[in-house]
Amino acid sequence: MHTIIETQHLHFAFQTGQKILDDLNLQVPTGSIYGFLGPNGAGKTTTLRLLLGLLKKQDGDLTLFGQHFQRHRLHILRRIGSLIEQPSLYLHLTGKENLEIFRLTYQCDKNRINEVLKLVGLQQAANKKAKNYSLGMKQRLAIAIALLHDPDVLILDEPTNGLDPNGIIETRELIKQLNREFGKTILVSSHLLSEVEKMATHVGIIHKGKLLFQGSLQQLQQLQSQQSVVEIEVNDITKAQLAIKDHFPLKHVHGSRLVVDYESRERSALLNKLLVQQDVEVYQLAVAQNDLENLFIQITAQ
Amino acid sequence: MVASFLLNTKAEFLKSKRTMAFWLTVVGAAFVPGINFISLVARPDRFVRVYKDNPWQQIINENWQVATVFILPMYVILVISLVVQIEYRNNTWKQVYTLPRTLADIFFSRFVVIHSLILFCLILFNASIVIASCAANLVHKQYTFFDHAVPWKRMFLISVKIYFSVLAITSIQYWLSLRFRNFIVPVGIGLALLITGLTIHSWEHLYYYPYMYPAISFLPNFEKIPSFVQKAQLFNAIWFVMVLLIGFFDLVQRKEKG
Repeated sequence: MHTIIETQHLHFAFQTGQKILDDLNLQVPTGSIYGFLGPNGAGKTTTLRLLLGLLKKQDGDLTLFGQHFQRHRLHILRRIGSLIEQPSLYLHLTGKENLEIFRLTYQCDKNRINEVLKLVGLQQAANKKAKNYSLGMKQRLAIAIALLHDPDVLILDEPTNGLDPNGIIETRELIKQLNREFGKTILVSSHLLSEVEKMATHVGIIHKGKLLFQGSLQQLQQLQSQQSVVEIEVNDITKAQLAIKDHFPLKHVHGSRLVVDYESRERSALLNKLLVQQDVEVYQLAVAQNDLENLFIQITAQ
Repeated sequence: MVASFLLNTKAEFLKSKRTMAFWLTVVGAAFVPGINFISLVARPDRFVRVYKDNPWQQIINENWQVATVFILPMYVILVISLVVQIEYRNNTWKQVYTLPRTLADIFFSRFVVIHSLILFCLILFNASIVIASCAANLVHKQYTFFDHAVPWKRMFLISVKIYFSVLAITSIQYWLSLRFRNFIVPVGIGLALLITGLTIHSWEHLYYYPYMYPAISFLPNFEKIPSFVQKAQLFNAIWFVMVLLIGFFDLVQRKEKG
């Protein structure tokens, strides 16, 4: 798989010296939905703004479609649709007029306006002023604008932010549909892992300006199983520790419970056997699945 | 290149549809002629005599004198800020800068819209003078506007002269409006500079002062000294080009856009 968006050793700092991005190497594969995940203030928006040229690059390299951003700004922007933070709309104009403004710049066919309105389900509201739209409708109109020129890449910054559950589902389905049916590569940022998990094919986790994880969703899920633990409740903690110490590295003790890394079913059985053989009473032995949410907190807490 | 600039300028025009900037242009243009209309209708006893021999010349001078010194510069200051505010208020700069448009295109297409609005305002102003005078004549038959030809050429020449006189103000205000997100700042600075100009109107080097160029180009006491007016025209052109380039350079250099 080729990468369509790439950053190399991207650094960014405020004038006060505060580091926002620290050696960021983002690699967004062609045709993916790349979930760019991180808590608020992690540097997601800064990264996306740098990718779009809204911020002046300080150090490192930005490549989109295999071309350097600075040297091919117009050419690159022609192939990107974007939605950064809140929707950018001319509230005194109708939905259709908003699209017309962008259509003139992109010089695309007039039919495109109706096509994208249909795609985001706003035909009925096309002639209403944008200021009378609900937040969900504004968001959809903003996505329609981003789609107008049929770009290869969509960059969406927290597109579900502030939406009601219905709006969130609709937006997510739309993103998946655009990827599946129209082959668009979509870079979508979010601070909610559950959100990313439901639509992304690839994930990048950013925290305090550093990319802590990058890979496919499967790889993230593997990491999740690697991070699962076995919890054993016993009568005698000291004895139990002695019994297993040569075979299993202890993670930590939790009252009357021992916690060790989960390895496999067979190893869990061996663990039990070792304890029983040493006359330790085992009251409970359970695999604690570390869910992604926990994993995310763990990764970002490091 | 040229074609896309024209299309983008058209898009910029579309943005000003139904905005305050547009309505200010219409209302601003009709303001002084409207007040003159009321005076003409209310006090025929006084004005029939005043506008007897050369009614058009008189009424045109009357309107322009009031408009050029304060109202026109004020309109220019406000309309520029309002046009630029369309982007700030809607938070749309970021969308503008992520369009495949060169910075020059973004900068100058909006400037073209601003100048078109100013020209439109001047045309409406002239039309309003004619309409207001004719309407007053319909109310009071003693007026002689219908008996004299409308001096179109003179109106045109004054308008052109006055249009050129605001050029320096347009580039200064455009730069300020782009620079400051808060609407109050460019308008406040512009108003302060305009009022300062009015208080120093007797300064012998007033031709350095951009906000007084409309007054210099129209008021009779300046007209008496052609060299003074010529100097003002020269500095007007220098200010216009220089500040426009500074404004553009400033935009290019800005680290954060949108």
